[in-house]
Amino acid sequence: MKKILYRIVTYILLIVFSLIFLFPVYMMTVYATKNVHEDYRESSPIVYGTLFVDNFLRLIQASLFLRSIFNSAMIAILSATASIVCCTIAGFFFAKIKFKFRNLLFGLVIATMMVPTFVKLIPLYHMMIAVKWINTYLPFIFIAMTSPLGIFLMKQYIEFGLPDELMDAGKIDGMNQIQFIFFVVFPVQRAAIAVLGTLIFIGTWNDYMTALVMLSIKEAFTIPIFLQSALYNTISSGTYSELMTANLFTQLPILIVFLIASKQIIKNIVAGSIK
Amino acid sequence: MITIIKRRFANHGFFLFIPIMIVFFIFNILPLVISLALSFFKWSGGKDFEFLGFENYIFLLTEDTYFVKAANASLMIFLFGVLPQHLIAIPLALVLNGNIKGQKIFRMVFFMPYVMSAITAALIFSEMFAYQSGAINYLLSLFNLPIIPKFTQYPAPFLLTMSLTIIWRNVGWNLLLYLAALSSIPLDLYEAADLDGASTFFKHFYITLPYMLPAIFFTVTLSIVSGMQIFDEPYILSGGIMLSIQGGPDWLGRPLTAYIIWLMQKLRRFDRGCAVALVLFFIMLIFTAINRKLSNYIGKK
Repeated sequence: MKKILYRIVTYILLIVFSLIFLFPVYMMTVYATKNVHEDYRESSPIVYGTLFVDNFLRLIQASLFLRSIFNSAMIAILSATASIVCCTIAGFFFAKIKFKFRNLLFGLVIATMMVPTFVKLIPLYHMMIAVKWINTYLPFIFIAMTSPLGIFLMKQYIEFGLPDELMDAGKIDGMNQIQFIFFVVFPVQRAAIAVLGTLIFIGTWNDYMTALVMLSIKEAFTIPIFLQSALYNTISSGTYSELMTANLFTQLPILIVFLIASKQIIKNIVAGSIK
Repeated sequence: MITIIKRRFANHGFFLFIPIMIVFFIFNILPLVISLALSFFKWSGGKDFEFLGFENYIFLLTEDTYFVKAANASLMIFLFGVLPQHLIAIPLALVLNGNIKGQKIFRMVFFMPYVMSAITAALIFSEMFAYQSGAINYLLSLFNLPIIPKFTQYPAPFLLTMSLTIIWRNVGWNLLLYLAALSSIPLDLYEAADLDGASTFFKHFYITLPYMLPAIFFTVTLSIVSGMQIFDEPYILSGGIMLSIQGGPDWLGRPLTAYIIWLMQKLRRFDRGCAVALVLFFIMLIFTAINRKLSNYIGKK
């Protein structure tokens, strides 16, 4: 009897706590349907409003929003693709090919995993100025392309997930290394590649700090910078409605990706961080 | 014949690998080296370099009042935004690790905020805690409770809003790490304890806790290190560039990371920005080293 009561209380607490966690997500959808800055004594702030269509129409008429979505999508997709190709190749070499200074090089990769972005930010900014890459997609793509975490993850996966017999079979079939990488390693490692791609996609889609430093003109804005500049405009003009609608739409792709892949993501993030 | 194939097989791919490693060096190693070098010069972006030696560091640690304020903000984020994550995540992991139906759904709910962007989280929370239109004050007023003052003006409400934003986004991540650690505890220990008629509390205290300690050290260190890199939430909540001179009430919206951006974009003291970044990096390394020592020590025991 005591046990059943204990279980019921546990479930109730868990559900209440989950609801508290979901409340901000719910509020995000509520804010998208109204003009947010209304006094709570006049209208209840936690009930859906009626302005969703208005907000949405005004939002897509603002060309900057669509432009920012496009920029973010391009950056996220290109970064994910580039990092998949490069990290898989690098991971394959570190895992399966013996060459001089391999351990030293891999040690460097692991060491740079610990270096946070902001330590590299100022030199990177000036390097990008020097090659005139400011306000382009290139800095994002190149930073993601050789992500130390990505190389490390792919090395782990390939080392334990790609049997040496496959390499022998490839050799006997007369494949050269490049053919082997593209026709054997990529298909065999597609689960790991999906995880890496998702991580990089979410990471670059949400990346604010790099964008803040690397982008200065409106045409190049990504979603986080667009939201930030919209926030300043709304502070001065006093309406929040489109901002919060934009906010909802910027999170939809991420939430969809997450809901589709959450099981894989959760499993592999944990595995990656603990190794 | 086979040796020819083997030779071809062994060497071809280096044409792909070497360029990747060159990009890796340019984008990961080179900036670190430049950063270190820059911190010893005075440089505002032009052609003039003036060698300063350790002057930048000495200035930061002895005279720079803004550095002290920023360090204070970072410390506050650690105390109120990072540590509570674990006070929530550990009990939650213990409960979820038990025989709970729908464990995966709960896990997904708590992890979902982690994939959302910090900007979004900051925008939602700044609306929820808004003084006259916010949901929180509305709910508080329904129950006739005292409402929360404007977080854009007073330090305590600002700290509350910022901490809750950070906690909300990161609890799920820590929860996952703790769940992974819990699942590695051998089950027969619990079965043996059950045979002896041990209580739940006894089991957690004598079996779970000793097994969890290394994981707790690891996870706390990880979140200290990532807590020091928090930038988006305080920056957006304190109005970003707009309020960059005030940096939120009591400068709480300006932790060390935001101070670097401020030095870079407003004052154009790139050298000092590099010095701050390296000091912060050094502190992170110390924490990591302490963690390694402690977990080795515990591992031996």
